[in-house]
Amino acid sequence: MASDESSKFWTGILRGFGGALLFSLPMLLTMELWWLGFYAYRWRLVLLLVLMVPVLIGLAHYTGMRGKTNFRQDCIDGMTAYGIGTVTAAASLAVLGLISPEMPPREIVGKIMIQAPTSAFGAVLARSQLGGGDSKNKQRRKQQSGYAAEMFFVAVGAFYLGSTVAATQEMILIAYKMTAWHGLALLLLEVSVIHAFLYAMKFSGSEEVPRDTPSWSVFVRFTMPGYCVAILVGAYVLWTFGRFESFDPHWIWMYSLVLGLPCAVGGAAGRLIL
Amino acid sequence: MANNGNQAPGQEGGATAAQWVVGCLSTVLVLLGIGFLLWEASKGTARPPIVAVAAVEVNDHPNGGYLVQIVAANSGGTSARSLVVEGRLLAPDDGPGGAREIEKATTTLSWVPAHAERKGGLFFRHDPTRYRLELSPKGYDQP
Repeated sequence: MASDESSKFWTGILRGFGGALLFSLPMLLTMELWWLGFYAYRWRLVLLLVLMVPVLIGLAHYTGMRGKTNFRQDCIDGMTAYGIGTVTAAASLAVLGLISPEMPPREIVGKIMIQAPTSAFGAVLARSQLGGGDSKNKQRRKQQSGYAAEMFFVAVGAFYLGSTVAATQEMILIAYKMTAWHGLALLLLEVSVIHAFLYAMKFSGSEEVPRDTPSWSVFVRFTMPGYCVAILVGAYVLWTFGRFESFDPHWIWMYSLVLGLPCAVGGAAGRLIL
Repeated sequence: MANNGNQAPGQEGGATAAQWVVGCLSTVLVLLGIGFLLWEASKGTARPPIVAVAAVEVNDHPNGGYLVQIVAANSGGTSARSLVVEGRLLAPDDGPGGAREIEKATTTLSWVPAHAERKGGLFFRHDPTRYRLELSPKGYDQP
C-alpha cells in the first residue's frame, strides 16, 4: 500500500540520520578535523569525496535489506546516504557552533565535507545495523560475496576506524615515542588481531573456508591481504590528512603502523559485521 | 541454515589462483615491512636530535617587512618537539666589538621528527639580503 511504502521510506531516512550521527560523532568532536577543514589539501579532499561514491554504492549493494537490488537502486541508496551524511554533518557542526555564517565559505565547506564520508557510512550502514529489514537476505548476500567483496569490507572497516583517529596529535606522539621493536610488536599484534577475528573465532560469517583448509593457507590467502588492505587504507587516510609531509620511508611506515591498529581492528570488525 | 559456509554458492572452498597471487604478494610486502623494522632495530639506541636550519627563500611581505622561509632538518635519531629557531640579522664584522645585531626573530616549530624536515618562516623589518642572516636552533623538548 502506498502509505505503508511511504512510511517505510521515511523510517528508513530517519534511521539513516541516526546512523550518520552515531558514526560521525567521534570525528565531529575532534579538533584536528576542524582545522583540517580549512587547511587540508583541496585536491586530496576532492579525491576522497569522489572515491566515496563507488564505496557507498557498493556498501548499499551489500548491506541492503531488499531481496534483489539493481545497480540503479544501489546508486540511489548510496547517494541518498551521502546526502544524509552531509546534512547530518552540517547540522551537527552548526549546532555545536563549529561553523557559523561569519566564517569564510572555504572553511565551512571544508569542515562539512571532511566529515561527510564517515557520516555517509553511518547512513548506509544504518539499515543493516540499526534493525529493520530482512536478515535472511543479508545472510544470503554475505555468503555470495566473493573474495574481492571481503577485501572491500576490510577496507571499509579500516577506513572508518582509521579516519576517526588518523588526524589526531596522539597518533604522531605515539609514533615518535616508539622504537623499532615496538613497531615490530605492533605489527605482530595487528596481524594476530586480523587472523583471530576473521578465522580462528567461530563467529558467523567467518566460516567461509571449509574446515579442512590448513590454517597457513587461510593465513596467506586471507589474513595477509586483509592486513595489507588495512595498512594501505590507513596510509591513504594519513596522506589525505596531510600526515606524510616530507617523504620519509621511516615515518610513513611508523605512522601507518600506529594507525594500523585501529585499521586492522576496524577491518576485521568490518568483515564480520558487514 | 545451520551451516553458513560450506554450501555457499560463491565459495567453492577451493583456493583460486588469484587468491594465491594476492596472498603471496601481501605476504612479501609484510615481510618487507618486518625486515625494515628489524634493520632499524639493529641500529641500536637513537642519537639525540641534530638540527640544521637553512633559509629557503626571502620574500617581500605585503604588510611591510620581509619574510624568510626556513627549513629545519633533523638528522639525528630522536624527534625534537617545540624547536625554537632564532634568526639574527648581523651587520658586517667591522670592529673589535664583533658583528652588530640589527634585528632578531624567533619561531617555534612544533615537531621536527628524526631524519625529517619541517618548514617555517621568520618576519623581519629590515631587508635580510642586505645583512648576514644567521639561523640557529635554540632549544627543544623531547617528547
